[in-house]
Amino acid sequence: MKPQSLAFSSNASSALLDDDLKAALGHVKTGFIGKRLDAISLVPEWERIRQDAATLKNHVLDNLDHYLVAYEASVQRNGGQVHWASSSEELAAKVVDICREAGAKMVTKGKSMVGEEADVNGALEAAGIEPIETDLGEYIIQLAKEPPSHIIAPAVHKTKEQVADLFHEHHAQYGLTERLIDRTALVNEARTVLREKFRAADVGITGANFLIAETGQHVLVTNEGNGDLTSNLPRVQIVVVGIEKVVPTLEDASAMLRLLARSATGQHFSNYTSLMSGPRRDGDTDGPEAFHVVLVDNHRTDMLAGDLKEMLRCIRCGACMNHCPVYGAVGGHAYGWVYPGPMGSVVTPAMIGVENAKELPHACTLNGRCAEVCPMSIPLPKLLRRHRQTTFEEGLQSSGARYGLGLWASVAKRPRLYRLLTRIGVASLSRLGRRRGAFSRLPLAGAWTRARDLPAPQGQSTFMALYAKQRQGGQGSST
Amino acid sequence: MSAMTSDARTRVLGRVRAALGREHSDASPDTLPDDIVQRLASNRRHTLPALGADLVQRAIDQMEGVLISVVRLQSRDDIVEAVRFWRESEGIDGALSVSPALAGLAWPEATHKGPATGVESTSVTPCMAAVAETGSLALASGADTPATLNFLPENHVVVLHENQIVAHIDDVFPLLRECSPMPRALNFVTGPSRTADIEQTLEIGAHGPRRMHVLLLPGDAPA
Repeated sequence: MKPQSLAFSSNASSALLDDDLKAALGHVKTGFIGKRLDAISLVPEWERIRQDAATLKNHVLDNLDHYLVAYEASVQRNGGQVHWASSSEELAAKVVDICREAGAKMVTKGKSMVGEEADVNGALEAAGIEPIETDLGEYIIQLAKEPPSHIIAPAVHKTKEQVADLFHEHHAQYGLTERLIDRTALVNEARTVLREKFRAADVGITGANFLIAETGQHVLVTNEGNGDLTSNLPRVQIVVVGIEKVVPTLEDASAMLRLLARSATGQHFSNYTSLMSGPRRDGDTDGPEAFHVVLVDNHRTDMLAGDLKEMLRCIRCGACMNHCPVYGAVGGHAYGWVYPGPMGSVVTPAMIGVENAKELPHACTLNGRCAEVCPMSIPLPKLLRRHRQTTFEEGLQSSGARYGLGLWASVAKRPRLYRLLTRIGVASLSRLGRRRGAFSRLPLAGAWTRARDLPAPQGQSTFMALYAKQRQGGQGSST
Repeated sequence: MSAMTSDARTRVLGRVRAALGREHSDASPDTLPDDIVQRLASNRRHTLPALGADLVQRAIDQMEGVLISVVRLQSRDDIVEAVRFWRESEGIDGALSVSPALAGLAWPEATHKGPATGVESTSVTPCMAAVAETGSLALASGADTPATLNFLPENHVVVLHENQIVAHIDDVFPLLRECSPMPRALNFVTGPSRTADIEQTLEIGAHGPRRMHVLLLPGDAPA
């Protein structure tokens, strides 16, 4: 999709006025946060598992070339083919090539964020090949022609009434003409429609959660089983995956899996965790006849080389967005591209260019909850501050913001002047606001007072003035 | 390997090496550094959650917690009747498909023995192991154990022997490493198919089986 991340502010403003969205986003809190906490509370070893995983992933990133080469050799040993793509365009072209060679007319897809990065669906459609998303959430947004708004619950922004309307509109062609509204009935309706697609598809395309260098297997995690039907039924299987997903051994994948489901949905383990490699073996009576994996870079090596290396530890669990007050208020679409929330605000500028997403690093209150819940201990607020620094250094902020920050910096570097000005400011605000206790309008603070009052300072002293006074009086100087 | 892919391989690996400040090398699996080769062969385990002593009970509890019903049987001679009884009590009609690995049992005449064709309502399969840590059933694909039986039928019955119950996910890996060739698929199945994609509300039976049932037998699985 064409990134809309530059429009974050206006996207967010309209999102805040959308009542359906507000109702739908309420489910993020009830659906994710408490369940994660319950699941983790049953594992006293959680912090150690978490540390192991970060250490392990750092080791992988420091040796990424070696493990990719080892993974490739293992896949080939199992009879699979490995392809490489340095950009999202190359990835989409490669997938289309493989589908064309297979004579594919229709392909089923498991949810893949890498596929979203490359708009694989758009490329397939342009080549006359019909892609069908099979993850229920992803299927819903495919019908709605929308991007995902959450990386593990892509249709979290939709109410069941909206889903009912979409199914009613699109399922008449299969003879399903009644508008069902009950959730169970909607799930069953999608099951009926997609069951036929699974069986008719020529190619199945999925992402992968991990790649195991030792065995050449990829690990695919779903709850619906759609990833397994997509992988097992068609003649040809394609896996599209980022190069950072490789781990050395089965035990390393297991360590990460202990973190993934608990962080994502609060399950101990997802319903379907499948390790696959290569086409059907001699004697097998089912499974694909050909197996392809496409390893994609798409700016991951830029992140590896620069300040954002730690972001490559991400296992795409979504915990950061579930716990983000900004995401919780505006939803995923406001972020304007594939990845929303804190991890999206770090990854998106790295992938589409900071100049095309310069507002995202500022869509953050630096409250730190995302880093606290991140199973891979990624310091998301620190990485967002890096982006903020870049947008400042490259002159990408508005001139007002740059001028204001420059002015503040020059004063802040002169402590005497700073104290003098704050003392004057506090004293005059305190005097002016004495009567009402707050300001509803204030020059230069319109952005603040438009939405809320600014409380008037209580008393006329700054902290530094009080501190100095106490020291003189011999109190409070014990430290 | 096509020219484009080959070029992309060189470019991607070259960029990885440049990012890591490494010299160019020939990118061959035969020239990996010794420490990487050792790490790949190490099978080193990370921190494992403590599970308590009674693994069988823990496995049963975990399976029931993810909506897999469990019933104990005395002998493999009881399997066919137990499947019939379960289907009847759940009101399940329709055709039965069993793994060729279980074909030797006294199944009703119409029973299909092979991969799922999409018309069967119920499958019966053996398993490689069950995991006490998570309540997962480890199902390895093979000529006698087609993987489609795990996903296409609406109802899935798994035959499990007590001695197949292992503590952690990691304890399945030695069993997998013994296989030659490596099975195409190893599916850890932890309950019937589910989704919460509509309003974050749990629904069972998204795409895979709606019901799962384990027949727990004593002792070892037959070789």
